[in-house]
Amino acid sequence: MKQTVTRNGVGAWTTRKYDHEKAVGTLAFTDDLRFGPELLHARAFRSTKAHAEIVSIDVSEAMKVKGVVKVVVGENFVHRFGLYLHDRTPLAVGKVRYVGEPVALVVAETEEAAEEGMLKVTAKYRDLPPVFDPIKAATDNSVLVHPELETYEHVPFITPFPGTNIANWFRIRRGDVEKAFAESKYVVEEAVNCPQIAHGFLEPHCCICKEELSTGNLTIWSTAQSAFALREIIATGLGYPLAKIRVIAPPIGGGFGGKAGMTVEALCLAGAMDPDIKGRPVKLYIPREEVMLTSWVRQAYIAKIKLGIDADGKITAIKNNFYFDTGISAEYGANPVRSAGYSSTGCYYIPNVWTDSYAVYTNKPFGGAYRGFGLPELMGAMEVVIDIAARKIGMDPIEFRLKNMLRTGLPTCTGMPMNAHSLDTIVEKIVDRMKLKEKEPAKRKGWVRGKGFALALKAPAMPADASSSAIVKILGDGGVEVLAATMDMGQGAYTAYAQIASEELGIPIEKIRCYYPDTQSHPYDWQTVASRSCWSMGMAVKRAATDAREKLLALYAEFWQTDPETITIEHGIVKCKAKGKAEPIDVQVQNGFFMPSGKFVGGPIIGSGTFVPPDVVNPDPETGQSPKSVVHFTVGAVGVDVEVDPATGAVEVNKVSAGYDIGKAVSPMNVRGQIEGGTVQGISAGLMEAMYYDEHGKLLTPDFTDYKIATSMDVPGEVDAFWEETPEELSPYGNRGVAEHSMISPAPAINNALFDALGIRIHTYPTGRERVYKAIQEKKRGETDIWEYPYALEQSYKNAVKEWK
Amino acid sequence: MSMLAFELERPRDLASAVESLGRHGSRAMLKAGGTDVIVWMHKHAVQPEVLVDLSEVPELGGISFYPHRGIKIGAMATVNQVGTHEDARVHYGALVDACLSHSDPLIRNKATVVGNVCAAVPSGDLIPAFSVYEAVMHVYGPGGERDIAFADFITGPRKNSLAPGEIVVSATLPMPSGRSAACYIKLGRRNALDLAQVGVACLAMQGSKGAEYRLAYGAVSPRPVRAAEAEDILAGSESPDEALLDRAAKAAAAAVNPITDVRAGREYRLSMVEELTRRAVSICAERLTGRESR
Repeated sequence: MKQTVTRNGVGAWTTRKYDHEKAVGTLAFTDDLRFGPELLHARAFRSTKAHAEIVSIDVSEAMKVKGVVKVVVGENFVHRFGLYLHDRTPLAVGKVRYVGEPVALVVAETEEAAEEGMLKVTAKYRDLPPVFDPIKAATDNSVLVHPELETYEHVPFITPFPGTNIANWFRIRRGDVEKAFAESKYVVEEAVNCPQIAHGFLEPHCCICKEELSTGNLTIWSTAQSAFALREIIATGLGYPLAKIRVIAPPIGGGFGGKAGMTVEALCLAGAMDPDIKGRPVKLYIPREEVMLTSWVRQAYIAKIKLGIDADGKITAIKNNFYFDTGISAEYGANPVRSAGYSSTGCYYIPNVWTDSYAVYTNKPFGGAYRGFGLPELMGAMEVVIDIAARKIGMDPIEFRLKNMLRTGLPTCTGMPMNAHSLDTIVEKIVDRMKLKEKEPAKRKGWVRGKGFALALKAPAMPADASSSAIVKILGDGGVEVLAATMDMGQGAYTAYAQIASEELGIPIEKIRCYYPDTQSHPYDWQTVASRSCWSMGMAVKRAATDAREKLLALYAEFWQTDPETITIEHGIVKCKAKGKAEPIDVQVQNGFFMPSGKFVGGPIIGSGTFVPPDVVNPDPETGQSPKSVVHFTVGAVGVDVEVDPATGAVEVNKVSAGYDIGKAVSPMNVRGQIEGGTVQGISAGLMEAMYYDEHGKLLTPDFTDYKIATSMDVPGEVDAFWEETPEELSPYGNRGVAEHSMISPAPAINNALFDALGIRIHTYPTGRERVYKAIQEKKRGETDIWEYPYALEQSYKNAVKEWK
Repeated sequence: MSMLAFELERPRDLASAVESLGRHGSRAMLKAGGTDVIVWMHKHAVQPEVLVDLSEVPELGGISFYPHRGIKIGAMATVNQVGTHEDARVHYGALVDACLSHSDPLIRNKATVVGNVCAAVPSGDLIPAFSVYEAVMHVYGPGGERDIAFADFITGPRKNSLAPGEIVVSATLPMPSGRSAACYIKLGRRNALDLAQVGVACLAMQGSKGAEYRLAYGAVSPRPVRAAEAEDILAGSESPDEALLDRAAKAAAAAVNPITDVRAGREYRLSMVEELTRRAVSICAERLTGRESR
C-alpha cells in the first residue's frame, strides 16, 4: 500500500524552485558575492602566438602600476590538472600553445589596476610552427602540441598515443566489416564536418579562491556545475587532501557542460596560493571576450562514415573515422570522443562495426564538454549520411531508418543489448504531425520549402562508477531540506528532487527546499553532467526520502502503538485511521517522541541515500566491447520544416517537432523546458554557430558581436515537444536522461530539410545564409554536394581582400 | 575585459562641451548614447582619459520637422525616437527602416542616430540613409558654426571630417522633392541584433523628368558609397523591368568594394548588393506608383 499522498509528487506539473528569486533578481550569483576590502582581483595576460617558446616575460612595468600586488607566471605554479588526462596547466609553462593562452596572472587591489597591469606585461617568444588542421595533426607528426604526452597521468579508460597528437583513440571492432562490405549490394561513403562551437551561457566564468594562512585550507567559490569533481581535480592536481578543500557553488547562469569539471579555478588558485598573496581572497572574473579562450568549447569534427547495405536495405556494416579537434587540451575532451565511439552505430542495428574515434591536439583553444557530449557531433554526421544512403538506394529515408532501427534487445556496437523504447511510435507521431511525407508549397513568395528528419540517441557518458548521494532532513515543523549536490543551472533539478521528496514523504512541495552545492554540507555527487542527475541523484534522493519516511513512520508507530504499515502521510499530516489519529508533523520529529515507555526516542530525522550504477563495465580498450557499456540510452527524433530564400540563402524554420522516450517525466514542466531549450540550441548551432580563426590562429569570434546565436526572431515561435514513457528498469521512477538529447539532432534534421528544399547536399555546418547561398549557386553549376573544409576559412581569410584601413 | 580608469565630464551646455573638448584635446572623446564608445573602451579599442558625456546638453536633443526644410535630428535623439517619429514615418522611409533594423529595442533606447553616423563604422545602419537623403551635418566648434555636406563627412572607417574640438549639434535630412518612397534593406547573419553584411538604402522621387533614384550602400566600402551609375540607369523609369533592374544591380556591384571578413565574404556581399538593389528599387518603385508615400 502506498503510504503517502501529495499533489506535487512525481509526474505533477508544478512551478519551479528558485524561479521567483531569479525573476525578481535577488538570487546571488558568484559575481554578486562580496568579500570586502581584503579581496584582490586577478587578470590574465595572454599569448599572442599560436605556438612558441617563451623566451622571457617582463612584469617590471606591470609591478609599477599602483595597486598591482604580484604577477604570477607559469613557473610559479607548475601543476597539471585534468578530469581524464592531466594535460593542462593553468598558466603556460615554457611554451604557449594557442593564441589567448594565459601566460601571466596579474593580481591587484582593484579590477582597474589588474587591467592596467595586464596591459603592461610583455613577453618575448620564439615562434614554433603551429598546427590547426586536425587531419594534418593526426596524420603528420611534424608538429607535436604535447611532446610530453607520455608523462601525463590519465584514467585507464582513455588511450593517448605519445609521440603523436592523438590524445585519445577509441575503437570499436565488431564482426568483419571488410567481408560485409565485399558482400554488400551498396556501399556509401560520405563525410561531414563542423567547426568548434561555444556554449554561450549568459554568466561568464567567475571564481574566488582563498587559502587560509595557518592551515593551508582552500575555499573556492565558483561558477561550477560540479562542486565535487572540481574539488577532486584540484586536490589531485595540487596533491592536496580532499578535506582541506571546500568548494561552494552559488547558482550559475547556464552551464551546458561549459562549467563542468575544473575550468578557471586553478588559474585563480595560481594567484590565491602565491606566497605573497595567500591569506587574501582572489577573484578571477573572465570577461565575455575571453570566455572561449579560457575554458573549453565544443570540439570541431570531421566524420567519415562508410555504410554497407544489402539488397533489402539492411545496413550490414559501418566503418567510422571521427577526428575530433580538441585544441590544446583533451583533459575533458577525451571523453566525448569515447562517447561518440561507443554510440557509433547511432539508432541502428549494424552487425559489423569498425570505429576509430580520435581526439586530436591542435594549436587552438580547447574542446570539452558541451550539451550532447559527442552525440551532436556523431548524429550531425550520421543522420545526414543515413539520409544520403537512403536516397542513393532509392528508399524513403524514414522507411530506411525504421528498417534498420536498433530495437529493444538488439546489440549496440559495444555488444550491450538495447533497452526498452518506443522510438517507432515517436517516428510515427512526428511523420504525422509534420506531414513529413507530403510536399507542401512554400509560404513565402519566391522561397522553397523542405522537410527533414533525424533520429537521436544518447547515454549518460560517465565513468562506470559515477556515484551520487543525498541527505533528506525532516524539520521540526514538517518542512524538509534536501541536500543533493546537483547544480540546478536552469534544468530544474531542485524542482524534480522536491517532487521526489514530496512523493516519498507525503509533504507538500512548498515545504521542501533544496540547496545549492557546498562540499562542506552536501554529501558526494560525481558531476552535474551527462543527463544523469534525475536518474542517478534521483535514486539517491528517493532512497534518502524513503529512509527518512521509514524512520518517521517507525517513530509514530511506536508513539501510537501500531504497525508502521497502518500509518499514512497525507499532505504533511500523519494519519492512522485505525487509531483515529491525524496530526501534522511537529517538533517531535526534531526533539524526539515521549514514548508510552516513558522515554524519549528519536531525535532529528535524517534520511540518507546513495547510488552507484551496479553493473557498468568500461568498454575493452582494443575492441570497445562490453556487456554493459552504459546505464541506458534515451532515444528520440526531430522533424523540421524549413523554407529557403534562394536569392539570399536565408533559412527560416517554419515548424519543429521533437519527441523522446524518457521513461517517465518526473517533472513534466522541466522535461518540456529541456526539449524546447535544446531544440532551439540545436537549431541555432545548425544554422549559424561557429568559431572562426584567422590564418595565425587568432579567434575572430570571441564575443557575441561575431559569435552569433539564434534570437527569438530566428526560431519558430513554438516547439512541438512531446515524450513517450517506456519505463527504464533500473531507475527511480522509470525515468531516463533527457537533458542533452534535444540538442543532438535538430542540426542534421535541418541539413536533411535543406537537401529536400534545394536538391544539393551541404556537408559542412553551420548552414548559414552565405553557405546556403553558395550551395544554391553550386547547384546551378550542376554540383550535387558542397563541402567546405572548416580550415578553408583560415585559408580564404589569408587570401582575402582586406585592404580597408 | 574591463575599462581602465577615466574621467567623466558632463557639461550642461554646448559651449562648455566645446570648451571641455578644447581643453583636453586628443585625450578626450565624446559620448552620446555610449553604445559604441563604452564597448570600445571595454575592449581597449579606444582609451580616452576623459569622456565628455553629451547627455545633459539641452541644445542637442529633439527632432523637428518642417515640410519645406526637412527633418532636423538633434545629436542626442535616440534611434528609437527617430524610428517612431510620426513625420519620419511618413516622409523618411529609409531612415525609419534603418532605425528599426538597428540592434534591438533596448539598445535603440540609448543609441543615437547622429552617434551612429559619427562613429563612421562602415556597417553603420544609418549611414546609407543619410547618404540618400543627402544630409547636412550642423557642427559647432571653436571656430563657431558650420555645415558639412554628408558626402564629405565620413572620410574612412571610424574617421570623420570634424576638426579638433568640433561637435555635431544636429543633422538635417532635406525633404525629398515631390512624391517619394524610400526603404532600407539590411542583410545580416540572423534576423535581429546583427551588424549589416550589406545594407542598401533606396530613395525614389517623382520629379519633372520622371522618377529619380538614389542608392547608397553600407558595409561594402570604407566610405559611404552612392551607386551613381545605377541611379542614372534607373532615372526616368517609374516601373523598371527585370532587365533594367539587373543592369542597375550590376552597376551597383561595380560601385562598391567589399572586403572579406568573418561576417561575410566579398563575393557574397557583391551578390547581395545586386539582389538587395533589385529588391529596394522594386519596393520604392511600387510605392511611388501606388498611393502610399513613404
